[in-house]
Amino acid sequence: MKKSHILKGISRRALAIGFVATLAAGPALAQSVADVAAYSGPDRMEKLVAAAKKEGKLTLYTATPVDDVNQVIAAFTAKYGIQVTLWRGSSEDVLRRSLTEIKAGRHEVDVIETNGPELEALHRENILQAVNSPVISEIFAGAVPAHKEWIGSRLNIITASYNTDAVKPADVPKTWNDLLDPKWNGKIGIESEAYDWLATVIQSFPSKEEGLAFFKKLATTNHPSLHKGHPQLANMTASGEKPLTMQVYLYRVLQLEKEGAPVKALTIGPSIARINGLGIARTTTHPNAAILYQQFTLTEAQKILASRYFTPTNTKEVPFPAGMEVKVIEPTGMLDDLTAWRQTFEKTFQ
Amino acid sequence: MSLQESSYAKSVEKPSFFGRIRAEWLIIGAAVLIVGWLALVPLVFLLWQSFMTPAAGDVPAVFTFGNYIHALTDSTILPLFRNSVVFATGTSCLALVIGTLFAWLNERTNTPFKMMFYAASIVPLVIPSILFTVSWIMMASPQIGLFNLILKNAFGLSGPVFDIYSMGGMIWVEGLHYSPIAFLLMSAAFRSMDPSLEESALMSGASIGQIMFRITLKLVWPALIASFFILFIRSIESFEVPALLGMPVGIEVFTSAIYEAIREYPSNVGLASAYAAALLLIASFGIYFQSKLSSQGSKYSTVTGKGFRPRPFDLGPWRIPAAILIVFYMILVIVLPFLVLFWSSLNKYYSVPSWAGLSRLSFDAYAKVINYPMVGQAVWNSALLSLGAATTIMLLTAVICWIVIRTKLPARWLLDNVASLPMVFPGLVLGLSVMICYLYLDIGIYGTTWIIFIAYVTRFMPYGIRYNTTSMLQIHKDLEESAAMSGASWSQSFVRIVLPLLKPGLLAGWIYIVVVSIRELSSSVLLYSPGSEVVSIVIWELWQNGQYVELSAFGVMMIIALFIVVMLAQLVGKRFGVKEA
Repeated sequence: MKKSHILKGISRRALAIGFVATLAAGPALAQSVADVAAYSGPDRMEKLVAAAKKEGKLTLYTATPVDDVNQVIAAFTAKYGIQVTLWRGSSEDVLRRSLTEIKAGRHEVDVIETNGPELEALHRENILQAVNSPVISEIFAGAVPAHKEWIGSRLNIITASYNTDAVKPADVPKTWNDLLDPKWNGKIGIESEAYDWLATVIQSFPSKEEGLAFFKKLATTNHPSLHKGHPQLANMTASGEKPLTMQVYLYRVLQLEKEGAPVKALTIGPSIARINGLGIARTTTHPNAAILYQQFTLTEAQKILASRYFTPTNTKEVPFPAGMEVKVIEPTGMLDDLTAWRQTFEKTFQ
Repeated sequence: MSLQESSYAKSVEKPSFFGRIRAEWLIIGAAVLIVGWLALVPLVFLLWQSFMTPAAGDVPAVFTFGNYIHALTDSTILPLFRNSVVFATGTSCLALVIGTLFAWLNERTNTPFKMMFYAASIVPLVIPSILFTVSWIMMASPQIGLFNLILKNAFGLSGPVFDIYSMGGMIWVEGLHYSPIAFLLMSAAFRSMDPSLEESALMSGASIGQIMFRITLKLVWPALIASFFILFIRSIESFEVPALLGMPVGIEVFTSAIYEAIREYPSNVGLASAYAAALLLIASFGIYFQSKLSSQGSKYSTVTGKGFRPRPFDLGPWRIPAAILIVFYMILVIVLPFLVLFWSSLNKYYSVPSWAGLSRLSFDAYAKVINYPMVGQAVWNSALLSLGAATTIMLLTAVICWIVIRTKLPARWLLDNVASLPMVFPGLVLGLSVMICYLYLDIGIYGTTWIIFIAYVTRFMPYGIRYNTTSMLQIHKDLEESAAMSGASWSQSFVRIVLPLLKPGLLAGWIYIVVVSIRELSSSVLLYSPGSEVVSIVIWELWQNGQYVELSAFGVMMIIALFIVVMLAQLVGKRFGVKEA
C-alpha cells in the first residue's frame, strides 16, 4: 500500500515536471488549432498522429450512450495510446456545459459530440473550429454542413414499430392511410416531443397542409397517446402496451429484437434520421489529438458504430442498407423553428 | 423580555464570560453566513435572469420585463397551473393522511412489527420515481396492468377496472411515493410527544378517535403544516409522474412550461426563472404562515423538564386491525412495486410478469450493472456526498432553527425564509446558478465533487430547516434555561441539551436528505465532471438508453443497500439521545 502511495507521489511529481517542461517548450511547439485544421499536405496523417501522441490526451463531451462511445474510445486509445476523458450528458446538456464553460474561459473540452441542432447552435456561438478533412468526401452528403465546423458521424434513424404478438402479419399497416382504420383506435403510441420528426415526415406528403390534415385526422379517429422518450416508447411496444408506435430508434428495435422481444421495425414513408456528429472546440488545448479523434470516429470507428446498430455516415466504410430512403432532419431549420413546430405538434396531437 | 433573552443578556454583561460568548457568536455568525451565501447565490441568479432576454451567438442578453409579462399573460399557462394545483393538493392530502396514520401507529401505539416498518416505509422514497411509476403502470395500466388482467379473468369483465393514466392515478402514485416524507416528519413529532395529556384524556373517558383528533393532532399541528407544505411544493415540482402518467391523456402541468422554456435555443432561462419566481411567492407565503406558528411561544412544547418519558399507547383489541392495515399497506406500496422491479430485473426486456416470461429469467442484468462503466465510482461518490450533505445540513440548520425559534433577533423570519427558498428553485436553474457562480469565482471547486456537495447542501437545506423547526418547537426552553443557570455555556447546552432532544427530527431529516440526495439529478447532471459521477447519472443514463432491465437491477440493489443504511441509522440513533421507555 505504502509503496503505491510513494509511486503515485513520484508520478505526480513527474507529471508536474513534464507540465512545466511543456509550458516552457510551449511557444516553440504550439500550433494554433486553425493551422492544424487547415493543413492538407500529403503528410497530414503522419504529422497529425505524431503531434497527437505528443499531446497524449483529450477531453470529449458526448451525448452518445456511454456503452457505445466507450467502444470507440477503447479502440482509439489502443491504437494511438492517447487517453480520452469522457463526460456524458443529454444533447442539450452537452451544449449548455460546453457553452457555459468556454464563455467563462474554462477550456477543458476538446471534442464536442452531440445532435445536429445543438452542434449548429455551437456553430452560431462561434465555439467550433472548421476542419478541412479529406474524409468529408466519403461522408453521406446530408451529414456535413457547408461551414464544416462539425461533421455527422452517425444517423439515428427514427422508425415505426409494432408488437408481433399483438398485431397479426395481415394487419401490419403498409401505407399512411392504413393507420386511419378504426381498429387502431387507442393502440398507437407517439413520442411526445417528436417535433423534428413531424417537420421532416411532412415533407413526404404532397404539401405541408395535406400532411398536417392527415395527422389531425389520425388524431381525431384513432386517438394516439403521447409518451415521453423514444426508448420508453420502444419498451412499450415490446411489452404490448402500445401495439403500434410511430417514432422509435431503429437501433433500439434491433437490439430488443435480438434479445427476443416480440417487436419489429416498420417503414411507412421515408426513414427519418437525426444526425449526430462531432466538432472541435476553437479553444482546444489538444488540437492534434482532437482532430485525430474526429477522424478516427469518421473512419475506423464507423464499423464499431454499425456493430452497435447505429447507421454510420461514412458510406465508403459502411454502405447504407439497400433500398433505404433516408430523410435527414435539417439541423438549422429545427434550431430556428423548434417552438413553431412544437406548437404545430401540440395542436395536431393534443 | 423573555427569560431566555434575559439570561443571555445577563451572561453578556459578565466580562469573565467574554471569551465564551465570542465562541458562541462565532458559531452562530458562521452558520448565518454560510446559509446566507448558499441561499443567495441561486436567488440572486434567478431574479437577475428573470429580467434578462436570452443571449445567442452575437446577440447579448439585455434587461427586460418581457419574461414576467409573458409568464403572467400567457393564457395557456392557466390550465397547466390548475392541473398542478389539483395534482399537488391531492397528492399532499393522500400522502399526509397515509404518512400521519402510519407514523401514529408506529410511534404512539403498541402495534406489532414496528422496527421493521420504520425502515420498510422508507422504501417508496428510495425507489427512483421513474421505476416506481413504471411498476405502477405494469400493475394498473388499462392495457397490460396486472390488476386489470387478474380482475378481468376472475370476473369476466369487458373493460379495465383501474386506469393509471388519469389525474386519480397520478395522485395515487405520487401520494404513495411521497407518503414517507409525511411519515418521517410526523414520526419525529409523535416521538417527542408527552403522553401525559393523552393519558389524562383516556382517564376522563375519551375514545381513541377523540384523543387522536382533539389532542394528538392538535399538538403536532406545526408538523402537519410543515409536512403539507413540503409535500405540496415537491409535487408542484414533480416531473416524472406527470410526464409518464399525465401526458398520454393530455394532462400537462406547470413544470412542463419551465422545461420547455429551458429547452428552447437560445435557452430561455429568463422565462423559466419568471415562472419560478411565481412559485417563490407562494412558498414565501407558506413559510411566513409557518413562522407565525413558531412565534406562538411554547404552545406546542411537549418536551419539558418534567420527567419526559414518551410511552406507547395501548391499542388493546385494535392491535389486530392495525396490524392488518400495516401489512396491507406494506404489500401494496412496498412489496408489490418491489416484486415488479425484481421481476423486471431478471428479464431480458421490459415486460409484464407472466407465466410465459418465467423461462426467460436470468441474473445477467446484475452482472452487467456491476460491470457498467463508472458504477463503482458513482456509488462511492454518492455515498460520500449524501452522508456528508445530510450531516452538514442537519447540524447547520439546527443552529439556524435555534436562532429563528429561540432568539428575538429582528430579521430572523427573513433568515428562515431565505434558507427555505431553494426548495422552489427548479433543479436545473439551481444547478446552472451554482455552475456559473463557481466558474467565475475560481476558487478551485469547479470540476470537483465539492461543487456537487454545495449544490446538494443548498438544495436540501430547506428540508433540514423544516425537520429541525418542527422538532425544536416541541422542546421547551426551560431545559436550556436550566442549563444556562447551572453555568453551562451556549455550546455546552446546544451540544448536550438541544441536539440530543432534537434527535427524532435530526434523524428523520438526515434519512430523508440521504435518500433524496442520492436521487438528485437535475443539478447533478450539469455539475458532475469526469471522476465525480454520481448514482443518479447512472440511473439517467440507463433510462435514457432504454436499458430498463439493468435499471431495475440497479434499483433493486439500491433499495437493499439503503434499507440497510436506514436500519443502521436507527440502531445508532437508539444509542444516542433520550432513552425511550
